[in-house]
Amino acid sequence: MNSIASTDIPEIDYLLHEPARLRLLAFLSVVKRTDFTFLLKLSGLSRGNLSVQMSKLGDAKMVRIDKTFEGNRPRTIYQLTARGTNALRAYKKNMKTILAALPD
Amino acid sequence: MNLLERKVFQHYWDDGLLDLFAAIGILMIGISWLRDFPVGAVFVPALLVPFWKPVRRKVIEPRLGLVEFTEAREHRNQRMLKVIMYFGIAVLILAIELYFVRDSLPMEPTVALIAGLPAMLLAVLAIITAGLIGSSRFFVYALILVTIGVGGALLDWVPGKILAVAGGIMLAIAGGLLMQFMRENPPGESE
Repeated sequence: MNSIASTDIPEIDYLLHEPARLRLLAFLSVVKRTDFTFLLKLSGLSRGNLSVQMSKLGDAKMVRIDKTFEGNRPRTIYQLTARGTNALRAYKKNMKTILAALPD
Repeated sequence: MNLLERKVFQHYWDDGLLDLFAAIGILMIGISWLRDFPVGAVFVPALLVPFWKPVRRKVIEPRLGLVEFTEAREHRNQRMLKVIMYFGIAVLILAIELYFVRDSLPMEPTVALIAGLPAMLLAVLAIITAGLIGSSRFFVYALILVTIGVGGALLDWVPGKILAVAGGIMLAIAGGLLMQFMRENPPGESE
């Protein structure tokens, strides 16, 4: 029987481990920057959920949030930070390690 | 391009504006050819280029949102647009050349289909575009161009009529697609 010692299991970043946030970070990782509307359509999340998740990522400095105005309309632009990129990379590596250690 | 980037890139082209510009371009080529100005067919679509960015900013961006791709992706986009543009011009020049020397061509069956050749060459361009932007819609446009090209040639249509008819059908499809996109994505939704 396979067993994994708890010390062999890498730490998982719970901020990224939430599916909606992980999806948003993944989308941000393949573009330079994007706005709320584009992420809303692309992710399929509700406005409220998107707003909450992006705020959490912004508070953790994983995403840079710029609020501007386009005429009278507010526009929020998001960009993955270096911290966010590194966190995503570490998450991927750690998850690979954990998945590889799982029994078939 | 990885799977995720492809998904974002496809989403970026889903609105139908490129389809509309392509359809108008083909329709304009057909009309200029019908008006005995086939050489103009090479230049007339270029008149559309300055309208691309302002229309996209005014009509699409408020509905779809803003996205800026990575610099590597932007370089690939520019290279892609150049390939499409240069290939399109080369295709049209070749088609016009062949059409005017059709009587001196040795192969009789080919001569019968020569009027459909511009449409068929534009179908190749549509297939290339489909591959580059990952949109199956452009395969449908290629099929329309080939069908109208062959059918029109067999009915003794001139190339201008073939292109105008194919462009008209594409325009109806692209217009419908864009209208649907605009209906489903009202502009200026609050954040």
